[in-house]
Amino acid sequence: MSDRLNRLMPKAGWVAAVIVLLALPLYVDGFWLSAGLVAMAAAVGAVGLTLLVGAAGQLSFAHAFFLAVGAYGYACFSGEPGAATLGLGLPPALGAALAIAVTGALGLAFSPVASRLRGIYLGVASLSLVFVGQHLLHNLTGVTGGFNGRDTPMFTLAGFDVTGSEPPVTVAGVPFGATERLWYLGLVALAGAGVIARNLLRGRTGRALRMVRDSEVAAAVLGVDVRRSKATAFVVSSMFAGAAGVLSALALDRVVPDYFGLLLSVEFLAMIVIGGLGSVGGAVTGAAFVTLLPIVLARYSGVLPLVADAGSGGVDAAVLARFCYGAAVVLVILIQPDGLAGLGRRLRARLGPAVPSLQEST
Amino acid sequence: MSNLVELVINGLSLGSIYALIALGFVVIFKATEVVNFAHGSMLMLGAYVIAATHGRIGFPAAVAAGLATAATVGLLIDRLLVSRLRRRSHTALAIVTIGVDIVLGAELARRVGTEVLNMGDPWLDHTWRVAGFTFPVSRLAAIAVALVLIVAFAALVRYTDWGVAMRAAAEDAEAASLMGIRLGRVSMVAWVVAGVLAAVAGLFLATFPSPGLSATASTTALRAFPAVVVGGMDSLSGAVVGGLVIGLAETLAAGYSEQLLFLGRGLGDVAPYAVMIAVLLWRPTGLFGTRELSRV
Amino acid sequence: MRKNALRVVAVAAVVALVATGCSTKATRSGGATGTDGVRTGPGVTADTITLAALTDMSGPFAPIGKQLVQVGELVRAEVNNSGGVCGRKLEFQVSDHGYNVQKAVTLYKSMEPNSLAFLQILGAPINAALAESVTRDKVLTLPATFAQALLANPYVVLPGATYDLELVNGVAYLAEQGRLARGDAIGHIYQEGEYGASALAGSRYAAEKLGLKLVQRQVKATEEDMASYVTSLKAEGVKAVLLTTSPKQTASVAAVAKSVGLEVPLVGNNPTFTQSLLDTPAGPALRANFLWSSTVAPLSADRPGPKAALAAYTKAYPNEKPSYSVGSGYGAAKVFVEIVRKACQNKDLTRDGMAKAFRQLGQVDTGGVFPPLDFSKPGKPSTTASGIAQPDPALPGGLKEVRAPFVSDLAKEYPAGADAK
Repeated sequence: MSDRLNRLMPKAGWVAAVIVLLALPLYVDGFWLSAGLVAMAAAVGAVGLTLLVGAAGQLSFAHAFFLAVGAYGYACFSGEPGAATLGLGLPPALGAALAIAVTGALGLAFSPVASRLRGIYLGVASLSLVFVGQHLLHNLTGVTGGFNGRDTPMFTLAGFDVTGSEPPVTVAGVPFGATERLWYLGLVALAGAGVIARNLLRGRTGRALRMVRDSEVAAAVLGVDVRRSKATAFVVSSMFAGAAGVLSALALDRVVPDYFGLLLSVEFLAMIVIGGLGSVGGAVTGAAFVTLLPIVLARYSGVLPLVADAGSGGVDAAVLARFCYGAAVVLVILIQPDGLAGLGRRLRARLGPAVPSLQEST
Repeated sequence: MSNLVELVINGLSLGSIYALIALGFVVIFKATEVVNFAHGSMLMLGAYVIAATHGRIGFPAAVAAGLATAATVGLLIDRLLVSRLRRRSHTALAIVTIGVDIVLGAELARRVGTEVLNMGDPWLDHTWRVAGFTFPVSRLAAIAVALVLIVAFAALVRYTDWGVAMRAAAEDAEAASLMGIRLGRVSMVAWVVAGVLAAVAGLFLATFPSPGLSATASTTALRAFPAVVVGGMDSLSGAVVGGLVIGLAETLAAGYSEQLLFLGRGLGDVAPYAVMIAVLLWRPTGLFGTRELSRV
Repeated sequence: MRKNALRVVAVAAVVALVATGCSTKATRSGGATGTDGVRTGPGVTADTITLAALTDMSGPFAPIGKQLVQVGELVRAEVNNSGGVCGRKLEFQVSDHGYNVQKAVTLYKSMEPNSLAFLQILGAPINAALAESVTRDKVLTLPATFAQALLANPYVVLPGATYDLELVNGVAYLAEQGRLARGDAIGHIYQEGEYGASALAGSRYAAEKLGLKLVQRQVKATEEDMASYVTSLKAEGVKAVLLTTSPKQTASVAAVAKSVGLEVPLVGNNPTFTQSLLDTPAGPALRANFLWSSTVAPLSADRPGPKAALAAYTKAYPNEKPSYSVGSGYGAAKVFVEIVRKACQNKDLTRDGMAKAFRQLGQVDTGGVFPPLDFSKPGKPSTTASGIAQPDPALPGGLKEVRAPFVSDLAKEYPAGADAK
């Protein structure tokens, strides 16, 4: 292969990926778009968690809690005033920004605990945030709607419905409804999250985090403010979770407490491990794998030989998906610690020389 | 007042079950520095085997089978996973156990489904009346068994070669290894012991006054985490104290939920975690945990 | 780098725009009038009528959801074998939400455009979450739950009395039997959310009217150990405990009550019991103290409806253990088919046509699965009657009727309906 071709190859790959993502709403029906949206929301959250767990080495189960704060925060800030649940009626974009800011602030509030606790103590302590969060979501009924949850307010930008159908838009004979429009918001959010995370990891902050992960003492000797860098990791990661929460709320139309339980946190950990700890691209791939697998299996359960119908007592799609990603987590740690990202890097290295790595190696 | 006494007794009996779970967890942590997130699934597995087999082979044999299965899974996790990853970070090891938990937990939840399984224990719904108080016999059995196991375990740690080796490994694994202590054996025994303790706890979590084993038992088992953190993750006596504290906190919060209404409904579920945060803020390594010091 | 990224997006956008020319995505079909003069809406074609069921096959109410779907299929086969409705065969579209509200909302979105109506949406919180969508889409829905708040929605078909009425009648029954007297305390353990809130309205009313002291304990749907709640009720000296719980919680309450020496009647709403509880250590306690206060007849009741449902079910599924939901599912499906038939008579198989037909039904007889039903008053329950049964492991469904459905004097004065709180 010529050098020129080598240089163009990855670029062509990106162009193709972006084209596919941009054109997808024209071909794919609402069901798959919704599934894709949930995956994109998860990807934004996973990128945040991989900063914390992968780069900073802090195991955390609190991600579901921060997602909930983002989701409910948006619902409160932009919810209709005067309804049964608290709503301030702010413009949606502002509401979303405030929700992300509030999540970051809560991350900061938890960081004194985080920075006092060493390593694994923090992981176990973060379990408590999920359960305390569940308790609050169930009990602050005036804000959260309690057990039944509350509806997500519509997202509009300058009079244009992003999660509605006013004014009507039709592209190539396909009417663009709520799902199609939201798809593009999701793409923008995901792209933004990816770029921010990569810049963070490549910069000073990323280096400091990795140093703290490898040895707190060594980092401190070299002049890194350990406490502050742990706090930074927590705040940044929770803000990503906040954004993911807002996006999930929009994709799912309604926020309910049960969604933000321990299982969600465990799924997030699975995503970033499968993708490769500390890798932005890996987190996105892992998120797509973990969220889409059960949906795909359920959709094709009739055709797939191993999948039983839900309720039959056999191994149904949800259970099979859990087997797959649980086993994937174990295998990745055991034989391929860099996850899918590392696998991709190796493949590329074998196919052609010197393709610049898109992932921050750890 | 009689309400308080009953709640305290209830809390202590529940706490003694939590103490067993916590103890198993701490043994693993002390011997191998692995935080075992699959502990809840090991517990559930032991209990499930007892529930599924007692009809055919009788209760005593079923208990033996349950303990053996949980111990075997512990052994397998140690041999197949932990022993291969000895040089990796705590986080990587913890994540491996999360992976195991996802798979094992999904399969057990599927098998139990929406059923409530009978454990086939001889205590049935018998109660014992003393001084105006009524106690379920199965909970008394739980306290007795927990006491015996805890004493036996303390003796194991104190007087056997394995106990000495484990303590040495916990103090400084590298030095212990240089002194000729076989870390692999220490770790293996720890996982087996933890499996046994988990299965016993699983049995008592599912006997009267609980209606039986259901798919959510592993969530209940998670409350051993607050117990170990409160006690200190590397302290065996801390695990016992932590278990009792958490059992009491949970029972009292639920029992006085009407008086504590300003804190919200369903307080029993969240009390263990609230206690955990409070203790951590006060002492970051728990009540009895070793403080790591590093001078810069 | 930034420039490059922009260029990538720009090229991609252009190519995407070109690609739009060959989009294949179909648009949603609107209403039309068929060749037979019947107006048709979503889910209706020239030879099929699609009804949706959004149910729980893998969550806590899976046993109920599964049997409701099974009997739904039996009724469908019965109807299709006798020629269908309006010359069209009934089709079902069944999805499992696993009692997860979030999943249910997503599934609803994918099912709604292709269905004439929802034969079943199981779960109080799920119905609450979907209420707005159901109203907006004007889709007739049969919730497999009995919370009175649902009655506010004109598109909800709710056969049977609501949870509050079940408890009003249940308390009245205990008082009649002389097991409660003015000044006594009674406990009520209820789940958070619509289910508990609905029942609580009834227990509050009954306690106030009969001069009883009501001791309330709200529990989470996921809690299973009821020990602390029962202990604290015992400390209050309650003479009876009302239950608005899951079957597992019922078993725990019965077991703990016995273990602390609280031997009082336990009166539960219709979703509080399943037969398998009788095999657990709580079995003896349940047999001694549990009373099932339900608007649905137990399967062993000596009336044509439950008998027909039981016979059809055991024939089709000889290896399954039928529960009372076989009866309620059978009755509910029959009611629903009646509505479709009525809409067919009106030559209007649209969403609006279904809503209109529903109100025109008049008195509906389900052969005694439910008490006689009357759907003509929007916002009011279709009946105020409920019966009493007690556990009996020898009978199908594990329940024996001890009192046929009745309307207590207390229930007659009760302002039942959507706004009873």
